[in-house]
Amino acid sequence: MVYYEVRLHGRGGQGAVLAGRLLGEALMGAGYYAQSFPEFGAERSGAPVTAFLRASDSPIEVRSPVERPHYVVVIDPYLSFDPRVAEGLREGGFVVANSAAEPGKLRERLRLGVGYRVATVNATKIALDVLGRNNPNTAVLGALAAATGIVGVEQLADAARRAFPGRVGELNAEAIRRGAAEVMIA
Amino acid sequence: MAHAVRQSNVDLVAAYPITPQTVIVERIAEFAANGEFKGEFVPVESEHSAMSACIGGALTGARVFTATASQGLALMHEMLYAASGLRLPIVMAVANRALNSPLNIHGDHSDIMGSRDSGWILLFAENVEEAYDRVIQAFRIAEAVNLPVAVNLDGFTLTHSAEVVRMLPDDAVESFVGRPPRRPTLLDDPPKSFGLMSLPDTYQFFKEDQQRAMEGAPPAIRAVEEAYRKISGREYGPVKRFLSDDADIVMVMLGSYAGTARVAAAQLRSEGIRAGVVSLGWYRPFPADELLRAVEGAGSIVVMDRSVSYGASAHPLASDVMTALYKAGLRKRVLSVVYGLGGRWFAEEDAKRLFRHAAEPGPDFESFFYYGGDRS
Repeated sequence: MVYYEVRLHGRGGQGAVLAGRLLGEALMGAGYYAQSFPEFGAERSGAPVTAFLRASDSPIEVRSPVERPHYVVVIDPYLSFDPRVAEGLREGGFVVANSAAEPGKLRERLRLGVGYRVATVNATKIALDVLGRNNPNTAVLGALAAATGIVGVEQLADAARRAFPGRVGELNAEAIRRGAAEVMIA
Repeated sequence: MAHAVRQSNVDLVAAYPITPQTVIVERIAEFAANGEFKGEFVPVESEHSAMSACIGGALTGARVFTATASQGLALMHEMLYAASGLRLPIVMAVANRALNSPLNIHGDHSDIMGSRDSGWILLFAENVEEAYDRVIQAFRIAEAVNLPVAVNLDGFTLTHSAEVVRMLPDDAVESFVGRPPRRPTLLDDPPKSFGLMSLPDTYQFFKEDQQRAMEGAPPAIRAVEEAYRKISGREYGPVKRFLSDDADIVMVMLGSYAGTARVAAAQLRSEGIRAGVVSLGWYRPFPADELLRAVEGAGSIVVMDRSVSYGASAHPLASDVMTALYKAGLRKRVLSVVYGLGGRWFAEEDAKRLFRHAAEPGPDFESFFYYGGDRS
């Protein structure tokens, strides 16, 4: 039986909610049941935003926000070093974060022991290179796909192309591939 | 939900945006802009106007839809009674959200409970697929019994959830809903008038007619649900029962947290606590008989309300459940629990805590606000 929970952290405007949605759509496209939903505060640019995802091979009944994630995805590089993002992470869980730092450094800053896995990717740089704007969400998703294998890189790229028709979709698909290629895993 | 509207041969959508309903109406506006929605889309200047436009549209014989939430439903309140009093088959989605003050955009049932007695049929969806299904059913239900129908779905939890929905083909839905049956309209020749004055000698008759229509609605709703099952394989009915047949404790729920309670109930079975869950698909008309069949064997009933009836004997759903028990001559331990106000989290652990509490001996009636364990 497949069942896992993902929590995504970002700041308003970076696309954390959209990342959760794309991940959910990629998983649904791959035949899984997925439930992807945001936790909005008072919506404003720059405020911390959390999004949640559940995936399973059977219908999902639980609806509450994710408190004990198997995977944590951090889209904002300044939140990446905030230990609160790893709160409730399950033993053996995985953090994939936007950061130029080595994953070992992230492990140290998040105070995660050897029982956890950690990966980093410089998604801000990829976003600026590929998209020309600071929307690191899709590059982090690419890193998540490559590091954890929970979703295929091309499935994500397809979901991005469906979400953004035309050139923007192609560029985000490229950011996903770059994120997958450049992820560093510890 | 927007897809259900697109597929249901709707002639008029009149709506005003309000979080968290906006996602539904924005999508309908997109469908209108790109030609996929064939009816009229009227962006009005307020929810009061939205319902007024729906009433006008329905009086011409058109099939109409609107959606709102929270303050929007409150502003619409006056016209809700006009819609039901005129016996118009209007369908509305309510993306349930808390009411001011303090300002809060998140989910609870305070909005619809404020309109509970406005004469609308009230259906509740547990997930996005059910919300889609219920909107399609609602048109036929409304047109069969000449009462407006509100389909409730929890704000954010459902409105902003991306999940699997098995949509039906356009032509299957179109032939299921067909065209609205003919009724007297403003456009008839010779023209007719509607909404006239009724004095003390007649007014109460109209109100009793509405009550009779509501009381008589269940067979029509069941017939639509059965017809829908034939095209979709999906049926919800007035109540959904889970492990309730042999349960000592039954939790009664409305809306999207029922699944969370079911997961908790299943887990508690391994601890030897016989927990069950009943989730209401209909709230008005209140399915008292089906509810009683589901809870008659239980010793304790935990009734979960996402709204408050200030100063009442019990909160809205609990009052309904207790009245049903009284009418059947049943006395049980009842917990009237207020939870989830303004989007407050409710997880499996919370449901388990309440089940365990209800499993302990206690007074026949308790009422409290539930906050959750160590969470702030």
